[in-house]
Amino acid sequence: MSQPAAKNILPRANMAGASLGAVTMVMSFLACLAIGAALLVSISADHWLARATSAMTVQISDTDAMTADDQRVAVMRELMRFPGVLAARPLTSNDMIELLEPWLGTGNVSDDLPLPVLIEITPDAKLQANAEALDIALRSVAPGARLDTHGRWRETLTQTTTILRVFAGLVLLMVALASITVLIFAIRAGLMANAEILQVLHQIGAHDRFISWHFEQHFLRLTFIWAVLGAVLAGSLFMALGEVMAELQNYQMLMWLVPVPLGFSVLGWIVTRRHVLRSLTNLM
Amino acid sequence: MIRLENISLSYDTKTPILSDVSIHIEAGSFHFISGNSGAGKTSLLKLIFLAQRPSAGEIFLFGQQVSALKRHELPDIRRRIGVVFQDFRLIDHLDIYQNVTLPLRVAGQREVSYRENARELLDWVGLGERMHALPATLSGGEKQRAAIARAVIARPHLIVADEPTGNVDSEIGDRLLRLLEELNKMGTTVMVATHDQHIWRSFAHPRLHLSQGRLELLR
Repeated sequence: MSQPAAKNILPRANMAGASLGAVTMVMSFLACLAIGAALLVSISADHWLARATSAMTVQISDTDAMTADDQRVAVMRELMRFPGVLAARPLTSNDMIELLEPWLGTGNVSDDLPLPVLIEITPDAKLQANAEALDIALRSVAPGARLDTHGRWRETLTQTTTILRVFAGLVLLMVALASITVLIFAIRAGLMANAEILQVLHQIGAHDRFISWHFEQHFLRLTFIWAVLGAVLAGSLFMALGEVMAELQNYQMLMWLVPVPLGFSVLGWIVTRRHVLRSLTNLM
Repeated sequence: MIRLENISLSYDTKTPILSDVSIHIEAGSFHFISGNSGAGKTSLLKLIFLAQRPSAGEIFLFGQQVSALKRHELPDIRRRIGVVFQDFRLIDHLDIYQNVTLPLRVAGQREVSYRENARELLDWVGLGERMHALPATLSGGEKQRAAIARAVIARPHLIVADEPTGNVDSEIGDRLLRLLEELNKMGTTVMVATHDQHIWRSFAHPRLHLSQGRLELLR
């Protein structure tokens, strides 16, 4: 009669294993969600800032000496030759009406409403630092011209995104701390559920490293498998939500989830090793 | 074989479990340890099978002073002691064959080297037909025989049994004791802790009686 293959000394499936698995998966999923949320905030903040800094506007008003239309030609000429201006486009009256309609209501912008001439500029990155020189240059050719870099609004946006990033970082930190704490408790509970096996192995003459190796191997595999499941679940959710938010379908972002199951496994291994060796020391 | 010198054991300072106990157990002997419940029988056995350190005194096992041994040397001493627990301590998810052969697996032996011996041993304790059963499906007597088989499979020099008949009826208890006597006849030193008077009256072996922390040899 043939013998069955030597079984694992620790049970692959018992109540402690199932509980630890469930807790590990949930915490891994939450940790991945927190990472995703933090990254999403960061990516969105970058986009908002990039869009805010990618536009400047020149507003031209009539002066005693020149009409706004006369000044527009001079301003366009100056913009075309000024370094760092990638594109300049005068807004049409329809563009202006579209801008005003959210405040005044559709069809309420009358023809006799005095509207300034607006020119939208697409600057390169260096022009932001050189905006004052551009403003001086434009005023020299058109006294009614005024460059608007949206500086105050950009400043507010920068502060807001910084605060959002800090909040996202704090949430991530808290979820990480909660994950670590819950995982430590779950692993300890799992180890305690198998305490009798540890005692039997110790009593029949197993060396500490033999016992520890078996427990480490068991709990490392358990935490890794379930943490990967949690991360895959979170990644799948991001991909599904990518239909409504394109930033979520960023594969580089998914790469940030990879350290989660690895971190959980390393934590599981360290906690198991420490707990087992300490328990063995207490047993004599 | 076993020498205890002025052993004391207490879990708190008020009530000592063992007080200045000294004994010398010869190799190849069979001793009962008697005493009321809570007298310290299990504590005495735990000292002998290296599950506990004494509060004071010295223990010598197989000619070696236990307190002088390094931690990594203790498992080799433990392998020379077979322990039979009252609550069996069989591992639930392993079948009887796997449970019984665990000491050999722990010692690093390959299964092919012990397979036949393990089968013979299981036949000898009457579990040959049930070697692939899980502990949960076994009766109390069968579990205790499996625990004895696990204790003896690595051919220990000493077998220590803590209330081995505590969870089985008297007929099975007698059979288990005869099993231990057979092992003793083969040269194994045996120590059995029991509070069951029927046991030590039925089997003619010296008895160490524990009372109020003191140990007395009765023949």
